[in-house]
Amino acid sequence: MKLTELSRRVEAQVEAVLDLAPNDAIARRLRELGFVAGERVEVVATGPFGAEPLLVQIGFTRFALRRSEAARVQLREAPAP
Amino acid sequence: MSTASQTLRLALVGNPNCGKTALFNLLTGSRQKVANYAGVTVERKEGRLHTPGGRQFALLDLPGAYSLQAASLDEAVTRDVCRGFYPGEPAPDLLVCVVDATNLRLHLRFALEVRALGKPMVVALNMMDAARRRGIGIDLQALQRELGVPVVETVAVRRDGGKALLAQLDAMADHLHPPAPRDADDPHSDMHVELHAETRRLLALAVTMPTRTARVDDALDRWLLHPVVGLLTLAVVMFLIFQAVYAWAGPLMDGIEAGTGWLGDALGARMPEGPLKSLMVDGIIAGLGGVIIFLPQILILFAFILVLEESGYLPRAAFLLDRMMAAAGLSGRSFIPLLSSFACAIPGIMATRSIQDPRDRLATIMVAPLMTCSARLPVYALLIGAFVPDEKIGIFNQQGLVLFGLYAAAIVSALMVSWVMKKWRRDKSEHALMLELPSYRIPHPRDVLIGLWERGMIFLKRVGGIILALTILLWFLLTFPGAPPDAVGPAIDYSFAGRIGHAMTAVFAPLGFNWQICIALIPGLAAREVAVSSLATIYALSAADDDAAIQALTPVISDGWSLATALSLLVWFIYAPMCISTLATIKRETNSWKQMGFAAFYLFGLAYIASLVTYQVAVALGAG
Amino acid sequence: MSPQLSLTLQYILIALAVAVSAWVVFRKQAPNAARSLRIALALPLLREHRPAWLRAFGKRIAPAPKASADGCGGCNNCETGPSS
Repeated sequence: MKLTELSRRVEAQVEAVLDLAPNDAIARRLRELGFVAGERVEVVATGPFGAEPLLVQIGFTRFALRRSEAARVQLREAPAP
Repeated sequence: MSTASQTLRLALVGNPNCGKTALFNLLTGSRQKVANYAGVTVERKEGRLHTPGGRQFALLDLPGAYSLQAASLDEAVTRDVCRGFYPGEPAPDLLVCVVDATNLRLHLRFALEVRALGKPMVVALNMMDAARRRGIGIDLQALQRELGVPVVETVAVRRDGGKALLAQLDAMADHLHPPAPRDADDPHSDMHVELHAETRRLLALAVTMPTRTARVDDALDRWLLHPVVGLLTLAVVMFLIFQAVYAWAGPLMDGIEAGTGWLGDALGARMPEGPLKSLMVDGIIAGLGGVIIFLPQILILFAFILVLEESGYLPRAAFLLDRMMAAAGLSGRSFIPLLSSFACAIPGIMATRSIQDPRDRLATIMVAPLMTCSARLPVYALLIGAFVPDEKIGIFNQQGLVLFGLYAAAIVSALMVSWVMKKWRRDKSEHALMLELPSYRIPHPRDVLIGLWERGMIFLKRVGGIILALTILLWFLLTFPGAPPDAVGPAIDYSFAGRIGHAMTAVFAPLGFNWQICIALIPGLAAREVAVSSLATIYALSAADDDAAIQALTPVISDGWSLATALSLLVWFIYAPMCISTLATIKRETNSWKQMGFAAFYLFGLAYIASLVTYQVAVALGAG
Repeated sequence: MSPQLSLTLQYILIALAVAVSAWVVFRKQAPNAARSLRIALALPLLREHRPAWLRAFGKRIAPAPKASADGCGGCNNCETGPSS
């Protein structure tokens, strides 16, 4: 499941961040910001127009991401906390 | 190797939003110097730091970076300076890595990355007060042991918040050493995965977090980012600010006006007759007084901007507006530079350095001069004060409404211009956002007051500097040469400036600009507010001819100009880049005369056409 | 009872004010040109064979050396906007 498909306020875990193109700088930055395997992630809110940007909580930080950026993030089910 | 007599060089490094700048201000006070790094348009902030132990350090505030794998020019500079590779910049002796204690999951990773450079380092756990308030427990000793570098607490917003750091610097200054060695890294593993794994290990060992985020942030974001409530709140907040600017500034402005009038009369009575008296009273006092009167409005507007900025609300506004801005060809990241441009486009244009995408950056730079900068405020305030009645429609003050309208018109124009540029560029590629929304903060009144004081001082220095100089020059050009013996019109018509102004009306008459306005526009090119002081001087000199008492400028204009002229001039000031410094900054930031020329051309062109249309339509509707 | 001040003196004061103002504007709007002008004026005064007082005067005219590559030109103050 992709991050863009995650329902609001449902927790999931990051599986991986995929490169859209070779040497994808955006994907690399996402990994640096904490989108790594096992990290808990949640969509907190969406923008008023076109459900974009997504307000994503990763670990303890909140980032606003475009759908195209969030689409790179693959998720898996979160085990019960 | 550094001896005690040599000044050691420190560098502050950290993620954005870690409170690095507040810490820098705390440690250096006013002993700061701002310039540029050699060859690039990245700001370089250096200051002097004094410790209780009597030592002096040079402190460099490096641009915030999420990672040493640089994604922007800013981050590249930070990376290179830290590694000692930046040409012309000596390598720092000690790195002070500032981390946000309330979000170690993100910030600690960067600290590990910096540690891997192998340079002497100290970790400053900033915002410890907020961490404690949220019940976050941090074992400093464990952290220090695992990291192999000293770890100290700092609270940048408290006056003595840097105590521990200063003590640490005193203790270690004479024997700097690299971090304690770690086990050799596995060369085959992915560095990112390693750093994150190590971060998690350290967190498990040394940090206890009660909940995932502050409940306050969650609750606030639930409403402030709501599609309807959020946008409504944003609109209401913006609107209230403009109402307040008018409602609260009134009595202060009256006071300043009374003071200026009194000063002019008192001086006029005591000075010897002759041109010197005219210079003092009609030139300097009338001219400067005409601008200083708007200081209260500027300060009130600023107070609001500062509070919004300190509170952490601005990225939320960027979030709400991102889609709309993206449709217009800008990025949500453009929001903060564009908002800065409401103060002055120059730091706003410089703030675009944080925009990674070069096309977004260029679009933002091109559009920043359209943001209603604070120098336009005296011009707007003068014209609104003269032509819009100080009455209410319902609960709204009309003057406040018109001011809001002018700002809104500027913003809408900026979006349209940007949209046109986007269509012209025909680019379909991706624009990154990735904007962090930091925790909300209650703005510290002290920081807001310091910010206001600085802004007020900047304004007054401008008045006492360039505005005073231009006023004197203009007075000179308006007074000499004097009228020939057989003159029929007022003396001012025969002066240098008078002749130039009359000549300019050939070009500007279709816009409804009289010769006085034309003259005022010339010094207005150096600084927009000078247009106001110039008008004050011009009219004061004209009045002096008739032996009339020095009047305030506002009634003179409301009697002498038509509504159509006033509207046309307002529209001119929305668009015209009446600020050579802004154009110079565009040239500097884009490194291109062509881009600067294009900006000047399209802005003046827009101004002329818009003013022309406004004036002709207004006259046709009977306002001429 | 306004005092009298000779017209010539008034004109001198005015000329001074105008000259200083013109310099201030020149320095603000074209700082590099202003620096070059100062250097050009100071250089001939600093030659070896000039009398000491002339050389001291030349030193005063010459601009202070630029600390680092400062690319700024034209605005009053580098205030930083909201930190991003």
